[in-house]
Amino acid sequence: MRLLLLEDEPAIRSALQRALRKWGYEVAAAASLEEARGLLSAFQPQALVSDLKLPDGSGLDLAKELGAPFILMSGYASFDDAVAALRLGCVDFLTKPVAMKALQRSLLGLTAGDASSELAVFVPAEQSALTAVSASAITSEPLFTKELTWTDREQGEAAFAAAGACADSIQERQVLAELMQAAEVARVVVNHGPQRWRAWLDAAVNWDASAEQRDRRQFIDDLADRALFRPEGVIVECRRDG
Amino acid sequence: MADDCAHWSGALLWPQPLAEAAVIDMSAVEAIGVWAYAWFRAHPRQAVVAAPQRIRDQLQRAELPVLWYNSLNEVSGHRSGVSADERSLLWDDVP
Repeated sequence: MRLLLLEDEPAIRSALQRALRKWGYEVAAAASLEEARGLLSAFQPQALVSDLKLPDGSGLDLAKELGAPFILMSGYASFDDAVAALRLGCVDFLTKPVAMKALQRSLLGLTAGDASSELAVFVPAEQSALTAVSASAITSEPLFTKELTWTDREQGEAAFAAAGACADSIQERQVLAELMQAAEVARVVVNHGPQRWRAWLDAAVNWDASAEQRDRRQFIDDLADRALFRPEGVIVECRRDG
Repeated sequence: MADDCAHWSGALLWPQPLAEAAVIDMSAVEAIGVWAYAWFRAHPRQAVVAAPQRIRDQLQRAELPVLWYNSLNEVSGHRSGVSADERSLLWDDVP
């Protein structure tokens, strides 16, 4: 597979290029949108791995032009960036520094159409008191994308009713319900495709020391352990406030 | 025993009142949220029948004090706690 790598940091670009080649991909690397555009006609990439923020624009712009599957990397991703990427068919959204294992897994998902993945939850670290999270496997060309917001339980339950209706499996609905109950004020973007759905949650989740929160986190961890959905799509690190 | 049986049903994903009884029939429960764990802790040794395996696995992993039965017949053969007669004997209160 021909991959176009777009990364402005020379050291990171070089390391990623080496890794991608080692994994068997044909790689062309560029440091800017302009340089990447110059490579398109000769190289004809089948997929894009790009930094979100580049000196002359956003990796999303090139992804839009290219129309090929893409993986974004960013150290400063906002929830809006993630939503924009989702709507454009982003396969994965990796937080920098990118773990090579995570990138390799995302690339496998990209080539395999990611049929194994069922649910991804994205919680931007800087907005949510959570760290080390990533989104994965966002379905391309979604049939349905809807943003839901809530500020109290009543609204949350109404939002869940709309979101839950999109979920095919009861496990997915339960994970969404647990996360919504863990969050006090939040919004969620539900992305519903023909085969699967994704929920992106932007939430201030405080996994406090209460028994209920401990149970809730344990439940989500258990599901991840049993691989009902990909672990990297689940909250993996949490900060306890206070 | 079968007369004192509550039938829970559906996707119990959000907090809601749960019927109390000597036996809970969970055969029609699709899913149960973590919020319900507190209920089970407040009702130790609750008899539960016909829970789908996935729900049983979930509640067992949470180490909730539940007594599991496959059917109501099994429950009727089980006497939980101490009967009134046994209590009388324990307290040396035999008439």
